Amino acid sequence: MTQEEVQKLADLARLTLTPEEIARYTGQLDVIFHHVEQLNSLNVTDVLPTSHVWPLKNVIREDREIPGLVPGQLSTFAPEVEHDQFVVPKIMEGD
Amino acid sequence: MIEPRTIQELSGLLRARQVSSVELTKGYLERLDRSDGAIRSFVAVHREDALAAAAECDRLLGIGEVPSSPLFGLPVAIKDNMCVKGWEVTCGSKILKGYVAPYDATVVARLRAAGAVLIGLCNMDEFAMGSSTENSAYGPTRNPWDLGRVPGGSSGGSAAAVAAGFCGVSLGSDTGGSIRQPAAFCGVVGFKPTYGRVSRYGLIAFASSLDQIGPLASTVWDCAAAYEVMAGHDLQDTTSLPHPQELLTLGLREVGSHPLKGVRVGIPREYYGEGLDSEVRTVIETAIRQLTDLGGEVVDVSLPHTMHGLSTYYLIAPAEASSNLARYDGVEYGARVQASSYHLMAGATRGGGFGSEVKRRILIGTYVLSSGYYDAYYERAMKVRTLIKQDFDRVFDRVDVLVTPVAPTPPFRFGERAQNPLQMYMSDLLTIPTSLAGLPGLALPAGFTSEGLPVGLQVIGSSMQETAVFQTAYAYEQATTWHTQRPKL
Repeated sequence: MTQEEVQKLADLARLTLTPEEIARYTGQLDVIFHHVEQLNSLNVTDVLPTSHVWPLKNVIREDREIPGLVPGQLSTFAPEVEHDQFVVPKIMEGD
Repeated sequence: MIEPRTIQELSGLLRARQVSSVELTKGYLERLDRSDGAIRSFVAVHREDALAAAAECDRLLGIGEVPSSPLFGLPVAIKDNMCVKGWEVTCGSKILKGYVAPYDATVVARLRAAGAVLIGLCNMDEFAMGSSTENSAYGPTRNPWDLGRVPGGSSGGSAAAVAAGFCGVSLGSDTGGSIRQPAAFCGVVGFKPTYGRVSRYGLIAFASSLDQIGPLASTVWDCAAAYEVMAGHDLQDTTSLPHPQELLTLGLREVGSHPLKGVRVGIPREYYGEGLDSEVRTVIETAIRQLTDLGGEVVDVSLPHTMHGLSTYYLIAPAEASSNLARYDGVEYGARVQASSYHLMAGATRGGGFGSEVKRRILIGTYVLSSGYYDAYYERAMKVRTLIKQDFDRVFDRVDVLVTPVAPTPPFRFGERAQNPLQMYMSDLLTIPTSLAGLPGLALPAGFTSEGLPVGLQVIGSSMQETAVFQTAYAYEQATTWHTQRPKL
């Protein structure tokens, strides 16, 4: 794990980190990934992945209106709101 | 000043009108006010709401319209990651400071309907990531048995609150052991249901395929009573199971001197390896002998992939978390750091609003899900998860329950593991596989170390076998007196 890699991950995950943090996390992630290498010792040929412990599929319900939350309720405690809409700074090119 | 007693006892007194809900609630709140300054199990106490709810319970008692749950009229605390309408909910994080829940979680709605008195929110590791509650942005919670030691985590506040007698029952959430491990560290009972038994609607998500809400209480019966209120299918949670839940408390009674006759108790050897603290081992081995005295048949079994659980979990859980926590970008919730563009705002809000452990796990998760690494890490981990689950399936052909220690060590001191993430992760070694397999797991007090620190026993059941888990735990509890002991505050 290199600091460049961790910086790239931080960018992907939208985390603004200090250089000290990048250095620290690089060391720690290195130790963690070294440990998880042990999974490579296992033979997983023909083993299906488990993404969910129950074989739930296509859980659906009747398309019937039921009471739910209204916009006003969701925006009350947002950082910046106008007319029940979340106000955000613009997404700039090349950002 | 009412001394804390079990829900089972208090419920009887309440219904016999020997004490009122308001008196009981005030008693618990007084105790909290006196002693939580040192422990800090609560992050928010909602006195007015609690007393209003208690007064309403007394009114219903007066007119004879009383819901059947034993939790009626009794104080319940909620972990700070579940939505209680009108209460600020922060998940132990700065990034949600100021965010007020606009709705009740399903479990909260069910507790209200049962007449439980909600008194406040309990401290936790930030976004449920941690094993000591040292990762809370609002300061740590201390173990009521030894204030220099951690209460465990991430539901450390919930466990400490029950141990200290600040509430009748509390709710926690468990993803890799976050109910069971703090329950063991605080000498109380904590239960993680079969995945899907309790609705996750209103539980702020950490890892969706692993998270489960569950109760913590001072006895197995109390824990079962709380579980009964919460369990059951919920249309709002598409991962909740449609199966009905039988009433557990009805089956928890005196059944003679050999209540475990016919019960095959599996002892998985991988849980008793070298890394197990010697005093923990002694306590658990004594407990196992007791299970035999109670009629249980001990069976030596093997869960060969146990040692891979930690790595599997610390790839899958962070991956899911990196996705679930992507929504905290300063737009819709709580905190925001102003900036000229969305991306800068998101970066600064998240960089400043999340603590180290959360950032670490987001980085891990982002890495293992990124192209080029997905197969080698995430997909491989999902396959090993299958192997771990299969280990349990095979073993449950030959046994009814499994019995193991909950944690490899007694409660550790503050700061002892905080600097070494991998060492901290090791605390979850014995609880993680149960979560990966989605099985029910219960932690209950099994004794103390020579320094007076609690040690917990874990009972694991096959999928949907909550009854076997509770009955085994109850039988052991009733043959011992650990559950009657309380920390001196």
